[in-house]
Amino acid sequence: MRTIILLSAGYDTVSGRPAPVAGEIGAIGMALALGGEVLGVHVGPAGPTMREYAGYGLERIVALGAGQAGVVEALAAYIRSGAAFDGAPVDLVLTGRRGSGGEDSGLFPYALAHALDWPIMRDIVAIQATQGVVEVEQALPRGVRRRAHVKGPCVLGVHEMAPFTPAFSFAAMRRGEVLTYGETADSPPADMAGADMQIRPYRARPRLIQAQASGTGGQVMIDPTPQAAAQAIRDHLVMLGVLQTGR
Amino acid sequence: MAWLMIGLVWLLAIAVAVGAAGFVRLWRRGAPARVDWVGGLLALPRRYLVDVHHVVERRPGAGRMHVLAAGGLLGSLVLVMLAMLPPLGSSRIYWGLVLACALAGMAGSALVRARRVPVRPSFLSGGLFNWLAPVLAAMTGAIAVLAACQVVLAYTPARQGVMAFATMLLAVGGFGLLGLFLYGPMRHAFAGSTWLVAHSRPGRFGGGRDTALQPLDLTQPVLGAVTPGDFAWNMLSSFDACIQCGRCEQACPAFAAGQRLNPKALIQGMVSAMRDDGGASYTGSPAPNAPPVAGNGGMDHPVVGTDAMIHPDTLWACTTCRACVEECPMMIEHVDTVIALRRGQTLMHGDVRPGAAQVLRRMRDSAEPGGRPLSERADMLAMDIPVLKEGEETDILLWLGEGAYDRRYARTLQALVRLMRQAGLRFAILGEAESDCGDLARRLGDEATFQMLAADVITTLGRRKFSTIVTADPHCYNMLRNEYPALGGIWRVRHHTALLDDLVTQGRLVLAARDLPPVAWHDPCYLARYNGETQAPRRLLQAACTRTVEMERHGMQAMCCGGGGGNPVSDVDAQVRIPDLRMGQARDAGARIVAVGCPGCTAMLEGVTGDRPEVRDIAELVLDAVVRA
Repeated sequence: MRTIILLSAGYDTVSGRPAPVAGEIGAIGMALALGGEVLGVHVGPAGPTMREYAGYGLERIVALGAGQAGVVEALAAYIRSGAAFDGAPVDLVLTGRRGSGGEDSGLFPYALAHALDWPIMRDIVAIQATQGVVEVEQALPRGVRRRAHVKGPCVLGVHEMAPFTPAFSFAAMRRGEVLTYGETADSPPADMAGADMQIRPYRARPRLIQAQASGTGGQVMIDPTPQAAAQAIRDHLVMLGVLQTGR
Repeated sequence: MAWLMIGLVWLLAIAVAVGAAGFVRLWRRGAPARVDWVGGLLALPRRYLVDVHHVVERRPGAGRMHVLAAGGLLGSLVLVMLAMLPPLGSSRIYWGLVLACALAGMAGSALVRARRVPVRPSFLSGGLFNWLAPVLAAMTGAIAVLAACQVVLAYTPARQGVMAFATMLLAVGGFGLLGLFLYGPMRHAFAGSTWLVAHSRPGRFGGGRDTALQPLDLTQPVLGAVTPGDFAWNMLSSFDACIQCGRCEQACPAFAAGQRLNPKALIQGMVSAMRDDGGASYTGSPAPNAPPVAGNGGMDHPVVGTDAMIHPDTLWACTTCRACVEECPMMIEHVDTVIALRRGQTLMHGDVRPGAAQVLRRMRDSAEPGGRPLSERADMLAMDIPVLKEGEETDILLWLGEGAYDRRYARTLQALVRLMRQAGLRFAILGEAESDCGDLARRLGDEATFQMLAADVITTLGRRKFSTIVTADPHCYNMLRNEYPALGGIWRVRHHTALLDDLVTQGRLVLAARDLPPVAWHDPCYLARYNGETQAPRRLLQAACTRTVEMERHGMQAMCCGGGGGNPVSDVDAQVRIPDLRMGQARDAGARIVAVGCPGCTAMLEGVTGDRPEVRDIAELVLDAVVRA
């Protein structure tokens, strides 16, 4: 398995300081759990946040210079070129699942999947790879899990709650290599950093229909016995597939 | 026959010297340490006779036992060796002196025996320790007979038989003593002397205090300690200096609560790890409920792990309260040992508890262990306190600390602010600019995050002018006062109890002692043991309340609330909660109110359920007692 993890120069949502993005940390853990070769890729200059990603066990990180091409195009070309793993093709691209306020991966994974013409799935919480087929588990609202198989290379957005947070150590941070690739990696690419963005006042949007999890509407119990209440909760969790029966 | 015995003693001395050289070779496999040899050697008699015995004699029986046993044995052995000198060997006065020493040693060996017979207390070790009294008795007994023969039996016919018996006794005893030196308790005599000379914190002797953790050079290849060889060599000698008296075990709050730590077993774990003896040599109480470990060791083998010598749970159970260090007669640095091992686990392997990992990540990314916005720190106070901006100046900078986010502790800070206002002090807070001081990261071994946070704080404070920092949090107090100077942050820092005590003494606050139910002061570890401040809060309390009581464990011997050292975030298994034990002690002392001076203690002690004494911060009690103008 050869996995690329897309790393973004994120910001901590509380302090506003530069910080890694939770989903991308989860992606590192997931890639390490899968085994094989792992490479972190960031398009743009390598700030201190990249070092912090290395602390989560990522040994190699490439800061990719986009040059004149756009970010998406530059990364797609890099992935296609085989430069990431000495000519061997990339099997998997793991990303965070949503932007968190910094310069991180909001729409980028979709744009990349489109450019590469690869399938994309998000909210991944579990993964298994066997013979070119990736078997994933997707987290839907209300604790519902959905399994899916993806054939061939794909882009997967890792859920920040995925139980894959790797250990952080200063030694790994110190050890990790941050390499630059391509031209002018020390300045943001042309289509980044608000080049073609504009600030508009907030506009109320129509409410989107929520993704509906399968399942019934539940039941109302008035003053049940603790046993009956516990049984109802247990049955519901079993129905959702959150709780395994036989335990 | 007498010459044979004198020769045996010389032989023993040579064997002991060879054995000691073996210890030195082992210790030298540790990291280098900067040691003031001349100063240390000159100070050794005073360090031993004053500092060590000051601790030993906290238990009068133990002090007497040690003076007689150690003084008697060493004195008689050295004197017998001197019998080679011609005028001495034939002097009755000299042999009388030897006899006196040997008799003292025999009395000492009887006291040694009395410690373990008929019932060995749980805090003492068995095994080779059980041979200590017989071996001491044999050695000193044989020498006593020798000396007696020289003094009184010189010309009697029974002399030959008696001397033959004494020679055999000396040979057997000498063999035993050598064994106890190489593999058992007597090792501490040489290792202890070495450690007293080359102590890693010489400032602790002569009534001084040195508690600040040492900064770590983050460019070193190995950070903290992973193997015994990563410890400084003098720390290795300190492990061998342990005589397993078990006082640390009796003082340890984690041990008392059934958490998986016994400071004595931890130090002996280091001894076993150094020698790779599988931990079989240790016969004291283990760390309570600690799962078994494989017991693999060696100078280059990791110390911590289920396949090593010390279980990881042991490491995270420590509250860094220093109670063990305070009680150790050999002045061993248990907390430094724990922190060195934690640094190894955290910095080299990232192997911390999930709860701690989360806290450390928040400290790294949000500069706040709870992940709360810095701008909301003062919100709970709901008071209009001036904020000190860059370039501005004030008298007192009030450092709020992590406790400010807590609604309960905010009441304490409100009381403090009201008192400071009544006294007419000019003060300000940092507002949004106050980031975490990094105490929790440092205690959890994450020196990298600590140094990053400390650099932020030093920059922030460097851009503002003030004469004093005051904080109600002893952990922040200890950091800013003791641990920041090594990184370049030098300020005048005071705990709120010291400030309030001054204001009362100077008459700027006038108190009328209130007739409350009995109040007991719970000494915060980081105020008392780390900074020696036990008097100001007591003066203050006596001015504010008519009836004060003392818990049995108070002052430098106070018991921790369980809230320090990252213990609460480290998912530690326990049988009972440490604050429950502490509250029980307060109840036993007849206290109806426990006065505290630390956000950690407040939270831990208020978390005790059921019928319990009320928890009030000392600032709240003082505010209630203030006579308004």
